[in-house]
Amino acid sequence: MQDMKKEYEKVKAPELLKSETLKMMNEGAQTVKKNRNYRYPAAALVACAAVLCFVLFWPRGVRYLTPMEDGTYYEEIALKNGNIIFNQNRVAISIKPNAGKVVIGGEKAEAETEIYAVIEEKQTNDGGLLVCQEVSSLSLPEIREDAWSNIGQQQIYVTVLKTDDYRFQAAYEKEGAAYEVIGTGVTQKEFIDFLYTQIK
Amino acid sequence: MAKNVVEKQFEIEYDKVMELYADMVYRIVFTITGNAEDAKDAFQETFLRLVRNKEKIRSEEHLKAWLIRVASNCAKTIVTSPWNKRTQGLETVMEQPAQENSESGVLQEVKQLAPKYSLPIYLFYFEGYSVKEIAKVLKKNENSIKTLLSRGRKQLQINLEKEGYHFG
Repeated sequence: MQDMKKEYEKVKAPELLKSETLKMMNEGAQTVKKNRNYRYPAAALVACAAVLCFVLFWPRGVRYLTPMEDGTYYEEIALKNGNIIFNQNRVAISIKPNAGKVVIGGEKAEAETEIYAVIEEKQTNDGGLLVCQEVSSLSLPEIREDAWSNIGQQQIYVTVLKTDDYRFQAAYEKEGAAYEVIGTGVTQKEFIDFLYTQIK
Repeated sequence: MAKNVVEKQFEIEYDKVMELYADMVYRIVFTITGNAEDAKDAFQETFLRLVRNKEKIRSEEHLKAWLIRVASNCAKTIVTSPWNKRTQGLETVMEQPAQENSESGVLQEVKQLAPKYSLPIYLFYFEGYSVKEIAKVLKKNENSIKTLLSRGRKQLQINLEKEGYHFG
């Protein structure tokens, strides 16, 4: 071990390396100092820009335009991560499965709901079914007002029943009549496309 | 009553740091990397990191411990880099420089040890650190350091015996 100690003593950092490193350190120190001088004003600038963007763009919201089947685009509806986001009134309704707790009928049995007319029925390419029908009445469960949303001026209620096939349901009232849109075995997008065309 | 303690910030003078610790840092990185070129890279990286992190240094003792830790990390990073694993340095295929030829077998064998052994051995036998201090600097358990030192010594002894050294 004494040998090792003696040998270690001979190992020294080369002078050239030391001087070069020292030079780099001094230059680096200058750069770091310079960068730090700019750091706070730059951070303040970025923060101001972020606030400005927030103020300017918040009223309209971020639009996730979804192409409709006929090639036109939604103006008010956007789809994102399983939520329906209504930009116009800033209400988002989760359409995640609710385990069937939300049922059309509430206290009233579903069977009591009389179907007046099938407005439109449509089969999707994957065998799903979309139906829009005028019904006698719809007794929805007690829900918070903010769980309702609008397409244009039309207030609607959307939910998803978790059955064998996901069953999307939307309920709305238009010119004194109650309507129900049901999508069975369809995708969320297919359902929203259909609902949108019915209401508009 | 609120106690107002204003800690005086530890000032780092690069010239002084270089003068005091350059050799120590170089020995650490040289021990771990095993060759001069990689050692130089790790050496510079260590001191440049000091420039970037100088606010974190609280005292002279902290500075030394910080340098040891960062130097060993920089050297290990170089040693374990994919580039280093796949390539062979020119030093290994070309004639060895005079300085390295002058090294005794002991130092050569220390360099051949895995960094986890060579660094504690260097700190213990050369820098004169105690096991407790090494554990603190390397942020390891004292028992781990004892084990590393013991295994490192054993490995070193085996390697040296192969080179013709005899131990009583």
